[in-house]
Amino acid sequence: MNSDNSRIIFFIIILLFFLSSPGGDGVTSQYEFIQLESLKAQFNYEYEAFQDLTYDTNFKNITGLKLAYGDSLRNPELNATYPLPDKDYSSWKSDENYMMLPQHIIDEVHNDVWSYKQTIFPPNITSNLYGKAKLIDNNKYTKIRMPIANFFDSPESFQDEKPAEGEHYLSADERGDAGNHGELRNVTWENGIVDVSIQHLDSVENSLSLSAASFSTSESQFAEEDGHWKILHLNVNFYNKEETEKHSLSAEGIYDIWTGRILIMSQSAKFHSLFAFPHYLADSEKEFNQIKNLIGKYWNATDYAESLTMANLQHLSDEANTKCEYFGFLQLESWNQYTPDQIRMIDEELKWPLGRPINRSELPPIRLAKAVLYSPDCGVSLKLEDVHGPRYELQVRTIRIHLLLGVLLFLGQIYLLLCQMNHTNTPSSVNKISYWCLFMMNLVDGCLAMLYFLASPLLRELYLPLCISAFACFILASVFEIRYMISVYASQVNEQGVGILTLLRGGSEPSTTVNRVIPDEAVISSSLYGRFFFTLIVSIFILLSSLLWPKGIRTVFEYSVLILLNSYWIPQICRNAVKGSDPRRRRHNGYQSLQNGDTNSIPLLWSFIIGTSVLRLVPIVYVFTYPSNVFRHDRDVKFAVLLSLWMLFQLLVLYSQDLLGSRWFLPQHVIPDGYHYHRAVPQSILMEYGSEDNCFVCPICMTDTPVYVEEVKETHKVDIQSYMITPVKACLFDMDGLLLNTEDMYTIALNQMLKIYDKGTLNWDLKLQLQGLPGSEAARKVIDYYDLPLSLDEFDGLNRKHQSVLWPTSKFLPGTFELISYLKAQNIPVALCTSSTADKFHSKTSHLTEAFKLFDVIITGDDPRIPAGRGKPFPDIWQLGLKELNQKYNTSIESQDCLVFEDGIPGVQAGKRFGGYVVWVPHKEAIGLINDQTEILDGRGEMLESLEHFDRSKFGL
Amino acid sequence: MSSTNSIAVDIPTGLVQFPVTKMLMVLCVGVVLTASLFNMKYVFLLQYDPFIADYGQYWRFLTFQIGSLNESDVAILTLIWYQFRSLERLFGSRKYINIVVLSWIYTTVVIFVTSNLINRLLPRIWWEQYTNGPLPIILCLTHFYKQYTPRLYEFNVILNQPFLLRSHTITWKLTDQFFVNGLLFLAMINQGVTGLTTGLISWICGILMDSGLFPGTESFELAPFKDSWNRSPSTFNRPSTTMTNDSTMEDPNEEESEEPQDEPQRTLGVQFLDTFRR
Repeated sequence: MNSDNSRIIFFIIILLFFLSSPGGDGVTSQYEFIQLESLKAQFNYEYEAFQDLTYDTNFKNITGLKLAYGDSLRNPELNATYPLPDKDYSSWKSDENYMMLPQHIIDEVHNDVWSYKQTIFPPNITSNLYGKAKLIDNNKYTKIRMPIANFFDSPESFQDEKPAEGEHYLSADERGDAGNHGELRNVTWENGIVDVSIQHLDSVENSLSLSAASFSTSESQFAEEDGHWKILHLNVNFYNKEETEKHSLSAEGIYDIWTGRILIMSQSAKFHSLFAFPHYLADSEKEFNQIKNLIGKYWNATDYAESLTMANLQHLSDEANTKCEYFGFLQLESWNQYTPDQIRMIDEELKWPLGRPINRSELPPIRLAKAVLYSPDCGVSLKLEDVHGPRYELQVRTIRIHLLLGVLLFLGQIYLLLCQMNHTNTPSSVNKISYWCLFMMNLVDGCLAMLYFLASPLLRELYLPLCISAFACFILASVFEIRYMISVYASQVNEQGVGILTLLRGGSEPSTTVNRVIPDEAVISSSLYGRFFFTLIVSIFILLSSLLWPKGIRTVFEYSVLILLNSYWIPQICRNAVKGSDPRRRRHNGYQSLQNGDTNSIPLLWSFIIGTSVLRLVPIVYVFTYPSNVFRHDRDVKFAVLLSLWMLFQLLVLYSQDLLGSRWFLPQHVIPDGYHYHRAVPQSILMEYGSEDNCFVCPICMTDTPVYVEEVKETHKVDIQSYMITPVKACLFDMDGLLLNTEDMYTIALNQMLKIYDKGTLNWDLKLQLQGLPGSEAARKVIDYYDLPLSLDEFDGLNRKHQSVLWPTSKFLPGTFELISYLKAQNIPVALCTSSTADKFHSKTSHLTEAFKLFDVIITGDDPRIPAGRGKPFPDIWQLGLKELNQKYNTSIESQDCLVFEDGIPGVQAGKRFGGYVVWVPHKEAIGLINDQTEILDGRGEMLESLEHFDRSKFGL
Repeated sequence: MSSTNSIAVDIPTGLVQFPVTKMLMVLCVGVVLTASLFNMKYVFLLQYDPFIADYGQYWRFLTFQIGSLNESDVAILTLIWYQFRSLERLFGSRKYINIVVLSWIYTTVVIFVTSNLINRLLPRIWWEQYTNGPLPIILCLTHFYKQYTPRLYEFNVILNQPFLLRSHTITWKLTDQFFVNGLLFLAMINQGVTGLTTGLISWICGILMDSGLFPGTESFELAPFKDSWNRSPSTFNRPSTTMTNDSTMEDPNEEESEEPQDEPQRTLGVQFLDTFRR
């Protein structure tokens, strides 16, 4: 309880620490306080000077407006001071001696750009425009020097209490030296792209009209102004196609609704352009006063100087240090085709849709007829061409429709996925689906959901459709797809750590781990959800940061990610190949009676495959081929075609897998042999267990089933697919030489004895005959073979003596212990049937008792139930082993369902007679001597070099 | 708790047996939601000036009953549709949908004709505002509801103690339809005087339809009709007469399969939820 409280207090303190921020104006020190006060004082002082400004007087002591172009032209090194000795402050003319623009630009603006014709212009031009920018000159004009007041500089040390006084210039050589500024300031490209976003400062207007009474302006004048001038906020970005050099300017502008002129001027610490609007825009004294009043109202309504904060100060300083100042002269194209009433109706309808009779689709775009940008301090002039864009409301409407169409795509995907989930309703069919195929789709959907979700608070107008999109997408990704992924994952969890070859054979059990913990669905789902959200967050971070990368890298990244994420059928193709399926032809004429439907076909519905591909391709193709798409993405038809072809290729491969079998493209020798349920029956088995008309009794339905036998011609018309041969049900093991290396010890012991009598070493020919024989018979053979002067008992005693030293060192042969553990883990009954007597067995295995506990049944050679003289090669010992197994598990396993593991020839013969399938693992030195193995095995078994090579899946283990 | 006697009058809760009511409720909410997604809710707005007088947008007479502009209207009207499920039980789904469509047609025509006549012929009276949402249809159906739904109970609330032996007590008579009445009143008053006027006119439409002056109540057929709606909910072989547990609302088709399973079959939805529960 106590620790809980202290933890809570700790968190509160941490929270307060993070949430604590300086007051509204962002001032945190005395230095900053003085900085801000200086800025306010400067603005207030300049506003006073602005109040005195008339149509006939020049600017006086206003930051950035002290020098005219003519002044700098005459003396380029002239400092911007007030008053200048021979400057005329008492009059104003629109030429380069009074304005900051060269005469050439002034003439161009007045004669070419601005039309001054009073026609109909839209009163509301909120929009995002897009067009081309062309550089006219970047070194022709003299640059006007613009100082930055020193109080903008940040303190150099904590001791600084007061900012420096005076001002400084960003001199040309300093610029060149700094290098990092050079590129930011000068425009070096010829042709570029420009985007302009225009917003109305409506809030200002509202507050203006609300507080109109508090000012001494008469009502009529205000109304006139309201209909004539509008204050805008513009963001202009111009950059080259490669986006290596980007310039931006964020500025206030004034829009003359009567003539369609727009003047924008950037504002920074070195240029207080707000006060320059009347002179630069007005054409007559009346207009001058109107604009001056408007600026005054704007000043008062926003409480301009007093509401400045440290953030504003920082922004002004940054703008001054890193960017050129710009004048922008824009001329709108008129909407002559409408009457003022119609324009008002259009405006109202766009603002507040009520279904007024306007044709939205035929509404002309906002278009700049002509536009010029000029920078007085960098001497750059630019021309904007073909700049146009729809009204913001129309743009929003288009995006809204696109978003809702996107929602339809998501719903379609959900429907298809549900169909697919319904189709694969058994674990075996789910198992055939690739987890990674779903994972890739899920990643895309999850990222989209996150992006929609992140975008929803940013685009207020589109909040509802964005939320719906995010919701639909999130439901698709995190409920349906994850749910499906969980079941796929759960059905494949036992394949972890399994080699690809084993999987190709059809097995699914790992060879190393014995005691696996198979997690339940809840564990899987929580781990998958964790993984899902982690990947999601990482990919969202990468995606968002990629937006800021240079265009070259970004494009490469975008294209490769798109190709990669649209390869989602590739994992499924691989999965199909791993799981394997028959060609359609065989599926159809084969065993329909046995299996309901096409369970051996590829697991995905064709409607799901094609539907998903189309649903996911449509948006990409739209973005890449439709030139005026909502995302303003570059057009690249080639990529869209390439991507579609890639998708088509994947679909074709999937189709070919369906048609020709899922492994048709793998060479035969690559595919390891798996257990075939549909196989021919060896004739020997048929002779022994089958009926005369080549039939077996099916153990399930107890009817006679005809089988295919290679050697019997008549049976060749039987369809091999019409019956199944079940895999092995029990395994019976020999011990000496197969599991343990005791056979070597026999040899060593015998060799030691032979050495005593100087008879050389044991001959492998003899050894092969000895294997598996009961002790007395084996001894008789050796004595006879080498003509030893020993009686049977003497030989036995001597042999025992030698052997007993060796037994405790016996160990498992490679692969044997693993195999037995595996079989036990699979609940396959295993029996040990050794010819060794119980005594010998114990002395051989006393140090390995734990391992031998794995055997369900252990039969030793001296078991009284085996009649005397019925040791191997008689099958009695194997029969006894199986009988014991059946008794223990209360089963009725037949001998033909058993595997017999043997190393010696007598044991193999016993196994054959017993009726099991014999796996013969002779001693490696004996292999070379065996030349009649086919005869010995007689088609009833196979030979292996070592149990390590034993192919479990071949026997369905 | 439910005796076999009370089953005759109890309306089953839930909407399984009321496909038309279900559809109407879903539409009542869904149409409005979709429209607001597309920012097109204005199609449900009808005012004489300027839409009819200036713009001649007569199509608005067809759309103004489809959706409501106001969220509280949506809620109230949806509740009323739910209460009116007894009408579906009474008429059967097929006839119910026919009557709903017919009352839509009649109320629209009547409102269209009267408002246009008033605005053109009577210079003094100006019918400007119209309701939005299916209020006229509902009010038209209200006549049928009142006419054909029996009262289950009524009781008097005595509001004061009698002072003298002969003085009257003020009583307040409440019936089981009190809730519906309240909802109807709310729905009308929510749209102001227009709601009341339109409601009255629509009610009269209902009376005229019932009396046969507006023909078609018996003969009108909506062409595309799902077979599953053919059965009236009241003709269902309702399992609650034989079973006492709460599984009375299951699909009657499922009930026909004879032996109940040991473990209830998990639907896909339940399986989804189980993923999160476990």
